[in-house]
Amino acid sequence: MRTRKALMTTASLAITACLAAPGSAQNTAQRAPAAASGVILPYQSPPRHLIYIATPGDEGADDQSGVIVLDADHDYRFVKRIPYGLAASELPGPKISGMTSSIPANKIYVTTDGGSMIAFDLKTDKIAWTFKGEKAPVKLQRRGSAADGCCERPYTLPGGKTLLVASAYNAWWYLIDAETGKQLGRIDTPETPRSHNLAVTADGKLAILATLSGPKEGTAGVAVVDLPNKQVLRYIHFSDAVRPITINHDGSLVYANVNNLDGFEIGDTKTGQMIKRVELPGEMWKAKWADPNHQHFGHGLPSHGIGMTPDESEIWVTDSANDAWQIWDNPGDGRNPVYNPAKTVPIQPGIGSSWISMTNDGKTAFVGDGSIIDVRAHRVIATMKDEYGRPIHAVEKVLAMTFRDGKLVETTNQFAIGDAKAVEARPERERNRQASNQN
Amino acid sequence: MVDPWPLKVSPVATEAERTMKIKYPCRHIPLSIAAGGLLLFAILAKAQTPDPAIAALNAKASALDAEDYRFVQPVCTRCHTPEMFLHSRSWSGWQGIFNQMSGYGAAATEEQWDHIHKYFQRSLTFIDVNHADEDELSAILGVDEKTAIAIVQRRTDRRFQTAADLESVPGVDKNRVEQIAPRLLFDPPAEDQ
Repeated sequence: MRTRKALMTTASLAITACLAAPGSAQNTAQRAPAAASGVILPYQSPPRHLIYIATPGDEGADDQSGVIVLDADHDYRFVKRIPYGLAASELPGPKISGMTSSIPANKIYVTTDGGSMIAFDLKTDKIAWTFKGEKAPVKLQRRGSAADGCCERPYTLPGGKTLLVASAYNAWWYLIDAETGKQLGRIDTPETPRSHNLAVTADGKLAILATLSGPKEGTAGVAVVDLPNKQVLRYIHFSDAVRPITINHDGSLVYANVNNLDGFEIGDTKTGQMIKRVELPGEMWKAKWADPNHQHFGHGLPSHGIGMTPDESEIWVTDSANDAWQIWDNPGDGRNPVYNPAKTVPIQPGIGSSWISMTNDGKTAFVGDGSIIDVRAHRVIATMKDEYGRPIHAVEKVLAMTFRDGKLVETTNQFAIGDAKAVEARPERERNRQASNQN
Repeated sequence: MVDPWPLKVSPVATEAERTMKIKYPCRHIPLSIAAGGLLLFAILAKAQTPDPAIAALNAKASALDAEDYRFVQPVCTRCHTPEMFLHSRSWSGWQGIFNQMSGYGAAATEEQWDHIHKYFQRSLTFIDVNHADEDELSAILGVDEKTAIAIVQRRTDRRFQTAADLESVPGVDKNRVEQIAPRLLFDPPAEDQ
């Protein structure tokens, strides 16, 4: 009986509903088109874009210490400072030589001239482990840096599980487990004995390992290494000691700053030949460089800092003689860059700007004097500042990282290098730009 | 003849009733189907009947950008009316809302998300003229990359103060600026300062 009543009630309700005036149900009178074909995706939580700045940098006198975090979504305002755990008497601590990160390990890694690499857990901002390397049989020292052990520039290999790290100016490189800090292996580069800068291709097959030495010391400039087999394939000699480098997307070309040059040289990693020397017009720098009373030259050379946009359309080179970043358009196969003075980006005078990093989308650049640059507009749009509003001038270096739900999901490396996807998309972008210019 | 649908069931079932229960354990199925069918008909009939108030909201939402709204409607009005989103927010604010709705079950194809983004950016998003990057300027102001770059270059020399100031940049469409004038911010919102 109860069942029957319930059924009758349901039927009545149904009839009533038929006759009732439209109420709260969603209106579908305007029929939408059939849903587009494809996989249904949930919306991803909004990303948080943070800038991690390692301090103190080279030649810095602004007493910064720790990793300073800025919020790129809110005008680069200060978020926090992650300390190195030093006693007050030790601050600001040894100069930082580089920084890298790992998505699967959710960590950043800071290398110091004090002889160590420190891993920070990005969930807690606490030190996860410290790697100190090994004693060198022959100690090499440079301007107060560690005489042996670890570490110069670090690099996270594709996949994020292994780090490749330069020893402290010795003739080898460490392979380190990104999660635990355990040493996995070593690559010896006897003909490029002062390990310093590096770049690795996106497929992890090729590493370009640079030495802080050159012809005057009787050494090559960079070692081209078959990374999976840990074998040096060949060495490339440049005209002088190699300083910062960048590589194109497949690592076939290496662009290197060298001592005594306002500009750069290009090496072919397949042939092992230096194929081109690219100079800023001589009248812009040679007299200043020859003048012993001229202003400060950061790192003791006219150009210490080089990078390229991810699509490889522009090569950015710092120019201490003119307190600017100079830009070369880089058409075709990248072997014949063309200086474009219309794109010059002036920076703060007298500080020096010794390196460049870029976001993966190539929109924003971060440079060594603390300037943040809009890459397409070629303009400085902000200055890195600490919690007291003080400009940060000596940093070493910057990672632009994206977080979702507190987890690292995208990161950059500290060097601005070519990216295969951006290179692939470049022709369409250039067509759009040309069409835009014609309008 | 045994009544298959006895109105009364005696406390002690007869043999015939016991047989019926075994033979037709779900003897109410036909009535259930009928009632369910009526209910479904009612819902469908009601769904086909436009609610003037909601139809007006949809018309209002569609008037902002009819082409993209065709993709917005099936995803963003499945559970609520357009009234819930017919107001402006910052782009990061909208991203937070999309994320919240996704948590409630909203889902779309990549193509639908693209159109949804375009709809909200073009029609319902505030833009901070002195801080937005070139892509956001292009999407919301409807300008090409060259003009967006010119806007960024101009504001590094001198910040924009007014809509008329923005219109002075070659390539910026005055009509578009006037259309979205209420959504142009020349100083960051309080929470962003």
